[in-house]
Amino acid sequence: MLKLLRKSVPPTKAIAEVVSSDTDCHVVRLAGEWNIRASLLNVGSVLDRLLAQPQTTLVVFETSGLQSYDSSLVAYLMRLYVACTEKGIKFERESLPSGVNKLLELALSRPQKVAEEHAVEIVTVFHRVGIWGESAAKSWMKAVDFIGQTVLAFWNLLRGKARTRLSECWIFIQSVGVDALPIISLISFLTGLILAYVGAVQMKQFGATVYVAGLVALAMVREMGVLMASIILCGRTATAFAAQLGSMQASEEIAAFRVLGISPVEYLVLPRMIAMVLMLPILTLYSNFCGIMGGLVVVTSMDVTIEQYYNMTIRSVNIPNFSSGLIKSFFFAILISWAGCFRGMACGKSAQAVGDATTSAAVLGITLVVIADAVFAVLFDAINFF
Amino acid sequence: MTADATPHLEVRHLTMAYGSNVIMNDLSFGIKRGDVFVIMGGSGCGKSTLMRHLIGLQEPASGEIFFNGDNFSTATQDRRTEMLQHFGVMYQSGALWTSLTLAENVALPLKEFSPLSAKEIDAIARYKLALVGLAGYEGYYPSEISGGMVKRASIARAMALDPEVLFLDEPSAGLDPITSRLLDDLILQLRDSLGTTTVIVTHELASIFAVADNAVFLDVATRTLGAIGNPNELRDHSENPRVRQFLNRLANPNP
Repeated sequence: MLKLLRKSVPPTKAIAEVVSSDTDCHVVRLAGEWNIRASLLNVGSVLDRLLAQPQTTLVVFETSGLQSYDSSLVAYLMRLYVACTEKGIKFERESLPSGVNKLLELALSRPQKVAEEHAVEIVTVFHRVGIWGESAAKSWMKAVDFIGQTVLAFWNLLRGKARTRLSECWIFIQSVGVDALPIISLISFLTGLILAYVGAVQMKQFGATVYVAGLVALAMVREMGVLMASIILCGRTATAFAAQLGSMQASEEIAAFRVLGISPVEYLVLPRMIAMVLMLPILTLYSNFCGIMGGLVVVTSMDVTIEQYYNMTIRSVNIPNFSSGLIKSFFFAILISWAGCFRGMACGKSAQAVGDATTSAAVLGITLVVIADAVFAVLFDAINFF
Repeated sequence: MTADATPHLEVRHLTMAYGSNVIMNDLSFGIKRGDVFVIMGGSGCGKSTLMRHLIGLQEPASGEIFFNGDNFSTATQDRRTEMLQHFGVMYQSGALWTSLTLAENVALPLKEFSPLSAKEIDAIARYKLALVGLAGYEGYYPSEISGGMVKRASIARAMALDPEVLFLDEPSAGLDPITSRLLDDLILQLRDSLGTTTVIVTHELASIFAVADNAVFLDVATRTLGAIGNPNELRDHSENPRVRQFLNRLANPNP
């Protein structure tokens, strides 16, 4: 019986050739070393020759020159076998070495699923628009559905009937709030600093550098503080929520909650949203403070004292200014955590899908925040809230 | 066959630990070339951990592993990568690449490590999938097939390059009895035709008695090797009562 030789014999190529042909019977010689890690160059032509002669009815193998083989030979023979069977050519399996025959047998004895051809789709412009429209409508429906579930979950929470783990909130407060402090410090401080330089260029011309304090304070408190904090949380927290829930979705952990009769929205989404709603206003305050500090550094380098800066800041920020940022932060927190959780819960079941979910969570979060900010700008103007 | 005396894989005084938590102490055994070798033991005794040590995913706390007489544990990264080319591994949860179809999953090792043409690679991938009963599923993605099929596709991928040593982590868990039986036949046939050494982590008794030439029993009570030998003999004649209990499916060690 032939055995696989693993020791180094000078390599001879794998050979498969038709050695003798009667009108109806072909003898195929298999020889050499068949190695899956080496090239199989000259084995392609046998099939063509067999099929070229329509009267062929039998294929026999001559294998005395076969030195070693592995799956490459069996795979080759299987291809040949399938082609021969289709043409009604008898394939003399018994003339193969018994090991090869058995391996071939194993593959052929398994139930063959008829490969279903995916119907060729005719893609026209209308078709594309239709597909796009359908998927857009579906994703809107999903979003609306999830909004409904979230509202219901909050309603249950207020009634004290929600199954949730509020102790979980502390963990999220840590990751949403405390852990974000260093990056928020840096970004907000630099934002304040940049605003101060932009203002200083103009104000200097009038010798009114001290007014930069008011400009920085107002910009930070009304807009930049809450925007910077929100965008940072979109980047680091909404994506984290989407990835956590997305991989839970992929591994059916979410299905396990559902089957237990526990609403995953109540159990998983509520603590995350609550933590975000609690932390974003605090982070906004902190961001405001850091921005004003950034302005201070610039202005004090331009012959303004700390005391002047302090007085100017206090004078220019009134209660409506101060609270408008905080009011927005509350709403933005809902939008950001909702975007993250929504994308996570709607995630598919592959590594690719989890990646897509995190990406779209960040994109959706930032988009919603900026749109909402514009809405607030118009709204506050309409009710003269400044 | 190259019937030399050096074991294909050898473990010498291996201690496995997660940090200070020792899983198994002082394991020593050899796996002969062409053996179907089963690693058995109760749940949580470290069977999969032992396999992860054998394929280099985890480093021994102490002790060494030899492949073909070469020290695997102290080998340089390049040398180790070379050795790993002779291994085929099927992971417990399948670990198929979800963004690739089944045929692409099996073809990926071939594309990277063999000079075959795309057509030949395709033929081999089809053949390997047919071997595990997945002919016709070449174009499916892992998310579109059942858990048992994922398992079988993972075995096909492990066999892609005709490895010298095939590692299977719980191959028959979750398979129906018929498929499980066909898998046993496949393992024996690969050994007979290609001389493949197979290392199987399992606690499916029927499968153990059907395929195993040799087996080790990891004893969770003493945290070391409980027994080594042919499972049919161990069942009746092992000196370790826990080994007999395990192989006879008894509720108590001393009936």
